Amino acid sequence: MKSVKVCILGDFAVGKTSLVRRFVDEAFSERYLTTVGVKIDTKTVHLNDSGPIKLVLWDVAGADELSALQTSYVRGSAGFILVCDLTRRETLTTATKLKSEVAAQFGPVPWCLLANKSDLAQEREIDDMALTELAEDGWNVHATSAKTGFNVETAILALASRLAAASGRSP
Amino acid sequence: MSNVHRLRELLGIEADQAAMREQGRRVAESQQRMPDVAEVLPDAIRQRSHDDDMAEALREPVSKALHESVTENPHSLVEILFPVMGPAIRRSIAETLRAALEGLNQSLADGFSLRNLRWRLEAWRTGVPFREVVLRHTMTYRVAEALLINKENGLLVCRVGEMTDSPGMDRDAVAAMLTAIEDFVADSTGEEEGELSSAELGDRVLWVLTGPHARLALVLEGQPPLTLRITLRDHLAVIHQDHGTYLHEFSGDEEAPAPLIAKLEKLLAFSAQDQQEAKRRPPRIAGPILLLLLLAGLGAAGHWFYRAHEAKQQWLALEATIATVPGVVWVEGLLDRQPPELKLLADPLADSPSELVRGAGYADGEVQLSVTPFVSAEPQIELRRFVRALAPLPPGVAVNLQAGSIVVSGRADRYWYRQLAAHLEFARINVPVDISGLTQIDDGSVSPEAADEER
Repeated sequence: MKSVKVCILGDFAVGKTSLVRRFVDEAFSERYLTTVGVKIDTKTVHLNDSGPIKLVLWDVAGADELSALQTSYVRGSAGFILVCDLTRRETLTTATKLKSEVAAQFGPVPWCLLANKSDLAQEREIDDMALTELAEDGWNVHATSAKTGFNVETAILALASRLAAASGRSP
Repeated sequence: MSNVHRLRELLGIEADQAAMREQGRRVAESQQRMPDVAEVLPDAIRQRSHDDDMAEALREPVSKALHESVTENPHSLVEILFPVMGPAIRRSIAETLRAALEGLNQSLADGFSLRNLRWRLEAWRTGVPFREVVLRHTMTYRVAEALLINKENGLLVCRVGEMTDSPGMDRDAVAAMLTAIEDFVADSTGEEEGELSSAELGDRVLWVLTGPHARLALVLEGQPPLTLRITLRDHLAVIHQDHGTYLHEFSGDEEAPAPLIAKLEKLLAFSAQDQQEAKRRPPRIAGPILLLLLLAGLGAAGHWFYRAHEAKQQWLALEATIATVPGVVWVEGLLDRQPPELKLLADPLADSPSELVRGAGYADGEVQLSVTPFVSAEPQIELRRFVRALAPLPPGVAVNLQAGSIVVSGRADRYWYRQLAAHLEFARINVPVDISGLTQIDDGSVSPEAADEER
């Protein structure tokens, strides 16, 4: 079975770990995240067109920019998932910044943006219009909710399909 | 020649233009010659490759180019030399260890035990060097699991061996976590490349060895010797040598090439002392035998000490005896010689030294006796010498030793009395002689010489 490394990046407290927890059966304690700055999980997904693929998910500790250590964590990723918090506009700015940093350092790789906490509709600072604009700019944007599980699997499976298609390319 | 031409000549313009034309021609020619030279250059170098002049000419530019290359990009050189330098260094270490093993081999060869004999028999039967048989039986470790991890992306290239710890633990996650930890260590220490050398996993040990493109993580049980790391590094170097490109370009392929898996499986052979074999081992009989040998050794040592003590006591007793014997002087005794040596001074009238030695319990020849005669001035010897000189003593005469003096008492005929008087006058006697108790009687006796004259 083919394995691919996928990094999850985003600002502090946007729900990266919750999204991963929702998606996978956990293998490691979350203490690793605070100690080493990354938490590893794996999930095998079965894609209709290309069979099973194993995602090795590197949940990188939240940051508004990539440190040297986080850059080393991202190295070798086949793709990455950006996460922002719909209730905090600045997290979208951070996601944009992180996307530019990764692209600058590792070149173009498949990626997507998960706009998390869609269940908190009353507190949203990023509306659907903004997400639509991003999509029009070529971003793969998915509104998700780690709390309810809304769209989480769909979004990640979509990225997995693109990774399977782009098999063999790495940053 | 026109005036203009002369003026140009005076100003040197003509000469400059000629020089420029010459330079232009040479540049054009060199540009034209370059492809020709490039075409023949490899063959020319090859042709003169055995020429010392060529080597001399190339030495400096090549050295300089190498130096600059290393200065600018040392990492590439490290990668190039990794498969070469690693084995060379390890070979040197291995040679040293081999020498040590030879010493061990010799020691074992000199030793004796049932186990040793059994291993010798096994070495002889299988044709395996004895030291290898010993190592195989004495090393207590085994490689339980081996993981080859891509250094760039932390993905698991392949794994072999049993699933240690919880079988549900995802090895891809373990590989990624190890990579993350090494990155973390590198970042924490400021090193370009961190290396998690080893870690303890309960009763198991995790070893991580890093190569240019891949990490080798091994879960070991028992107590692996540090020398195993040398062998493993060699193995990792071979893996890089044969599969370097594959490892460099690895991006999570479905299955690693079979030769690579086979190389990794060889690591599982780095184990020793099969646990099952250990369980099946027959009851040891070498232990009681060794105990008996130890007891025998202790008994022999005890006996030796006892004998030595006894010999010393016997020697001291002889020395004490001789000290009390008049006319015999202990000069030197060497008990540590074989046989013991004894040097004495002895008056001829003293007790026989040989008898004294025999009387102390020594058999003839058991002590090398050396006796030097001398004249003793001890009263007892003086007494013996006195009696011997005046013998035979008349029946009514007694000679004794009293308070260090020779006391002559009784009744003596005239002849013997005169003989005594002459002896006292001329002989050298080292003790006082008291003859106050001696009475001279005139019984008409004559001396033997006078009787002969009368006849």
